[in-house]
Amino acid sequence: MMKKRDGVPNFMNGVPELLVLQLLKGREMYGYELVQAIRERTGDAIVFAEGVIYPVLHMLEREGALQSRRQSVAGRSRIYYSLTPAGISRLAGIAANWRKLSQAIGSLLGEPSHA
Amino acid sequence: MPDRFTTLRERLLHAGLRPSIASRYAAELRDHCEDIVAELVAEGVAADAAHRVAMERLGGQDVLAAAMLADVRARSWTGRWPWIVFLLGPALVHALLLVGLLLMVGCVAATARLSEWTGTAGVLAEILLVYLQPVTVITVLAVLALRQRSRIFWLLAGGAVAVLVSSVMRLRVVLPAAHQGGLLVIEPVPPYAMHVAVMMAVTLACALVLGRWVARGP
Repeated sequence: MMKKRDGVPNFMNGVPELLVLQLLKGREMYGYELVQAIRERTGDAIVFAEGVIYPVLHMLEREGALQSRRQSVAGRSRIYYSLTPAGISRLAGIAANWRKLSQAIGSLLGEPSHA
Repeated sequence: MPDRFTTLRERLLHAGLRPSIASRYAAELRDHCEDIVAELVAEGVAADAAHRVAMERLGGQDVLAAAMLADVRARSWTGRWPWIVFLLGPALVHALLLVGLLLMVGCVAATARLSEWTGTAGVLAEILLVYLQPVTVITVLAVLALRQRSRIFWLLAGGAVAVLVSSVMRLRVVLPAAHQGGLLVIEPVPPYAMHVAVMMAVTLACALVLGRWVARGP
């Protein structure tokens, strides 16, 4: 019987956070800018309803991983998000988990099939 | 006619999302939509078509609402536990105020000589407890209900609790007669119909104003 283990990542859990945190590392952005960056950096491989980026941003801000500030640009008030120190630690954790998972799947896919 | 983002905000408020978060989400989505339209128009797409594409790219109402409502921490007390805010809240406020006023009057009576001023303080305490407090509580409940788009039932129920509690749990400070020297009486006062009727009318008026406001739409 398989034992339930703590810390085992759900496959897609943390992907939106990983993308957001990674892209905000070292540079603040607003929602639209962030979605454009995701599209460009992933070559449109990750397709999602663009509006759902905001619940992710709000959740990360609520948990202290991001901070936001309003700025008026050309008569419009934009909300810029940036990483906090807690966000940097969180990014390191999620990125490490993702690399481990990616490596495991990579080695599985690379295995020769048994006849 | 309300636009798509206003409709989404209303839907989220009805579902219990905090008003500040719902407004911010709607504003961010509106800005995002305008950015997509501007990008497409700059590429030569017609404005109507650009708007249609922007709506598709943003996601449907169900998807956008579900994504925001998935995190229960974004919901307000009024949205998650209306019975606590509207039913227990008024009773708790009244009880705290009653205890505070009893302590205050008790302290005044214990540390100073009784005077006309003590009697005036007692009358003011009674006015605060019986009239000002329920009116204030009802006003606050009306504002909360309006902001959260709560059902009018909750405002009526909360107003009724505020009125009943303030009518039943009253106190009166009675200064001693000259020949009794030093006896201050704080006694419970039975509710009387006129007071309950007037306060219920205030609650109803608040509920009607709220109802008209909500019916008129944003």
